[in-house]
This record gives sequence, C-alpha cells and structure tokens, in this order.
Amino acid sequence: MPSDLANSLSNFLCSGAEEDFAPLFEELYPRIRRFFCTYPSVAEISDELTQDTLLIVFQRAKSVCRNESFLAWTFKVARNIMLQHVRKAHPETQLGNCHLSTLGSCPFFEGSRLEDLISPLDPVSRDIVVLRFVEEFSYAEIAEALDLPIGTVKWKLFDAKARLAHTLARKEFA
Amino acid sequence: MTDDRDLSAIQAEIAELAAEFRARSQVSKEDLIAAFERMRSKRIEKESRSATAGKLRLVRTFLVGIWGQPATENAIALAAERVHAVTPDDLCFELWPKFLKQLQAVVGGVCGSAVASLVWESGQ
Repeated sequence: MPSDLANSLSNFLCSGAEEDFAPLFEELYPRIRRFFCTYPSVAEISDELTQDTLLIVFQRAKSVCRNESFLAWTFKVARNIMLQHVRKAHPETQLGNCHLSTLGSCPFFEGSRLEDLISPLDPVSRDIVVLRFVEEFSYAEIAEALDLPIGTVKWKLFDAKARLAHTLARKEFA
Repeated sequence: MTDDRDLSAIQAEIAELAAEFRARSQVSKEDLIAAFERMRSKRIEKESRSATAGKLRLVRTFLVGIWGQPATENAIALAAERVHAVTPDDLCFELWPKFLKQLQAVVGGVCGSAVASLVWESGQ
C-alpha cells in the first residue's frame, strides 16, 4: 500500500473522525469510480456506487480492516455493491454476464484503448487485468478482492496476457 | 504459442494503456468535495433513519401491549400518512416529532390523554 494512503488510513483508524476520512476519500474515490466505469452496466451510476462503497468503508473500516489488506477489502466492498445493484436492477442477468450489458457508458472508459483491448475477456479476467495494471495490486491483493485462490489469479492473468497478445498482434497486422 | 518475450512486451503495452486510462479518469477537486458532501448527507440520513427506527420499535412495543398488533399497526400507519411518510419506515429524524404528535392524537382519541402522554414519553 502506498505510504500516503497508509498514513491517512492509520490517522482515520486512530480517530474515526470524518475529517480524518477526507484524505482517504480523496485517494480512494477516483480509484473506486474508475473500477465501476469499466463496467458498462453500472458506469452511469458510478458516482453513486462509489459514495455507497466509501460510506461502508467509513462505517466499517475500524472493525474489519488490517493495514495490509485495506485496499483489497475496499475493492471487495465495491464489487459486492456492484453485484447487489446488478441483481436488483436486472434479476434476469447472470452475474458473470453483467459486463455484457450495454446499459450505460462512461465517457473516459468508453472508446479508450484499454476498453477495446479487454472487452473480449471474461469478467473475472477483466477484473484481474484492471486490478493488476490500472490499480497495480499484488497477486495477494487481487486474490483477496476477488475471493479467488492466488494460483487461480496467476493462471488467469497469464492466460489473459496470452489472449491479449493475440488481440494486439491481430490489430498490428490488420 | 506465446513465448516469454511476447508476454513481457504485452505486459508493457497493457501497462501503458492502463496509465492512459488512469490519466483520463482523474476527478477534479470540486467534484471530490461535492462527492464527499453527498456521502456525508447519505450517512446522516441513514443514521437518522436508524435512530428513528429504534424509537418506533419502542413505541410499537408499548402500544402492542395495550392494543394488540392490528390496532397498533393501523394507528402507526395513519399517523405516518398524516405526516406524508409513505410507510412508517420512511420516517426520518425531522418528521419524528410531527409523527409522534399525530400518534398521540390518535391514541388520545381512543384511550384517553393519560395513555397518549405515555406514548409521547415512550417516543422521546
């Protein structure tokens, strides 16, 4: 975890005060929001979902969080909030397919080169790629955030990179 | 088959696209402040609802002992409707005193002012 974030977290955990949560909020808000934005089905309400996530972080961080896994836990909360929302809004949607929904779009993700590249991947591989490369998580953090064994994370990331290599090669030769 | 050299090249390429995406997804200071304020309002509203729900539980327990469940639910629903809350669960902190006054009036009309005062007390 970056040292600024660790300091903000430890200040907040000591006091539990709202003003000490503000620096943490500032650090986490853009990260959680862009995670939601990688899902077309929830991108339009990414601000609202991010606030809900950070409200839970504010209320529960003190009781559940250990410094080293704080970020992973935060993203786990975010992912659960998103899945809850998808279940409520589209009960017919399979969780694994929620990225396939065409509802909503996010101006900074839609049409980005990263979106073009990762859109053919399955949802779990997409999350792994996003958490690894955009959020720069360790394998252990990804495993905790997505509730997967660390071996599965490594294997899926290797497989995703191999598939992305093919996609890129095809684009270069096209 | 993709060899190791390809994979390290692709790694660098994805990292570059990820950095580009990170740069595009910055949030301005003003938007951050507004988002923090919205989160704060949500928290206050949630806490106020939960405090109100606790008070409502007490009033309900008190009234059920006197009236039984159906009459109590009807009285609570009527009082909530009079303060424009769709259901008793919608009662927030600001509506609570008005709701309690209405409930006191309903109870007072049936059971007299002594019981109505006790309802008022149990809802404080």
